Amino acid sequence: MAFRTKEVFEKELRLLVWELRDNPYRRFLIAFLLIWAIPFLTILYLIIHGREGAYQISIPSTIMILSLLFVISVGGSVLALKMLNNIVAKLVTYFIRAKRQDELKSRFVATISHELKSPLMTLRTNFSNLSASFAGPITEDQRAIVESCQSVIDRMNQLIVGILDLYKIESGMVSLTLADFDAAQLLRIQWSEISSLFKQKKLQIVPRIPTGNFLVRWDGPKMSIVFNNLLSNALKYTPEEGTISIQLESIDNFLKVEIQNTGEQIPKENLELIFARFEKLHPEMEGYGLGLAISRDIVEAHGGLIWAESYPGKNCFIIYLPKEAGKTNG
Amino acid sequence: MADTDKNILIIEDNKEQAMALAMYAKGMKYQPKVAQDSTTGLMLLQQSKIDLVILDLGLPGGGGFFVLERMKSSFKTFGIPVVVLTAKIEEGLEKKAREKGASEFFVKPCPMEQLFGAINAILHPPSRH
Repeated sequence: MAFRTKEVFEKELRLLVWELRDNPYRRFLIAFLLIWAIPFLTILYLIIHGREGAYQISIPSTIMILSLLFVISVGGSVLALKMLNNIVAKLVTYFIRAKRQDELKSRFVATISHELKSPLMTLRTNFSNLSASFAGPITEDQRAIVESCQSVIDRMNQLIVGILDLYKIESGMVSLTLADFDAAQLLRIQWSEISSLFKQKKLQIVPRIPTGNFLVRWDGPKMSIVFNNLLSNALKYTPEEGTISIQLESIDNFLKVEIQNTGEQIPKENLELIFARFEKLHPEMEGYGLGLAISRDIVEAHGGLIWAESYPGKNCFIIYLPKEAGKTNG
Repeated sequence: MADTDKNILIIEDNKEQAMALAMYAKGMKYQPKVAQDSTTGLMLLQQSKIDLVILDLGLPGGGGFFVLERMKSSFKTFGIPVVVLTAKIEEGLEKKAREKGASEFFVKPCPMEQLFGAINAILHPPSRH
């Protein structure tokens, strides 16, 4: 769906190399190198060793040959420069084209956002008017219909936001805003926010977040999305009275966050598939299969890794992140 | 429910949306007025007594930020609270709107309860007594 600028650039570069294969300048360059190299090496050999042998070379001949070589080299250089100029011009054109594609992507996101979200707002406001009886009294049955429509609007909005987030991250339109904070605190906030839902499902939560400061330099709001996605998934896929554990560990310059649940084992062949866009192992479950894809994009943008492991009766989602985003060594 | 004497100006170019918002505001016992472009909005602000503005950012005739800037530079309107309601999702938009003087910022589609909860809190701040 989306191309990063780098990908577009690489594609264009491949195209350029392909074009150059049939470029006449290429033949000139090879010819120039051969013309230059063979007599030059011969003369060099004769100058160094010729004095003692039969192939002694006179000074006027040397001057003549060198002059000839000079003329050839000037001609070759002009051709080489022309070729270089051609390459640079093409690269600039391709770069401008890639930049233009970026602009088009931004405009596409802005248009989609506006054109899809605005009508949803009108629908939501009108349903709120009906539901609050601001357009006249309604019956309980009508109210139930209105509420069902409102929840459809919420789901549509959730999907639009998810797709746009993914698109923005993939297109490189979202940059990380790094700040120093305590990762343990961020994790505590995230699980306390949805802990009431865990209680409703009678799930046991085992937070293994050691006390102390886990100072990191990450994009806090974006990493909140990651933790929220993982905890929401754990909530969805853990059966009633199951257990969810959250573990935080500092390993050198990295932090390892592990979220485990006692859900159904994920088949080995699906452990990577679950990170793909719109992939859902259980289609009947709520959601659109975007959460893990977005999470992986965010973690990778920080220079980290996220993966899943599954064993009988236990699933683990592991995040391995440099404490300072993008800094993977000392 | 709120007072009937508070006037809310809705500056929103989408007619259906503006009408739906006006109906909700009326239901909440406010007096809504609607402007569908920046110029009409600014004119209404100068001519009428407005207590709060619901402002869309993607407006014809200068855009929402133009309205916000003009409001904050006018002696008559600089104190009127502005609640931004936009479908735009650019990064840093909320920060920019707040820096320019917006009191609240909502992204469409937001629940009406949240939007009018914030409006009520602005127009009827809890008494300190």
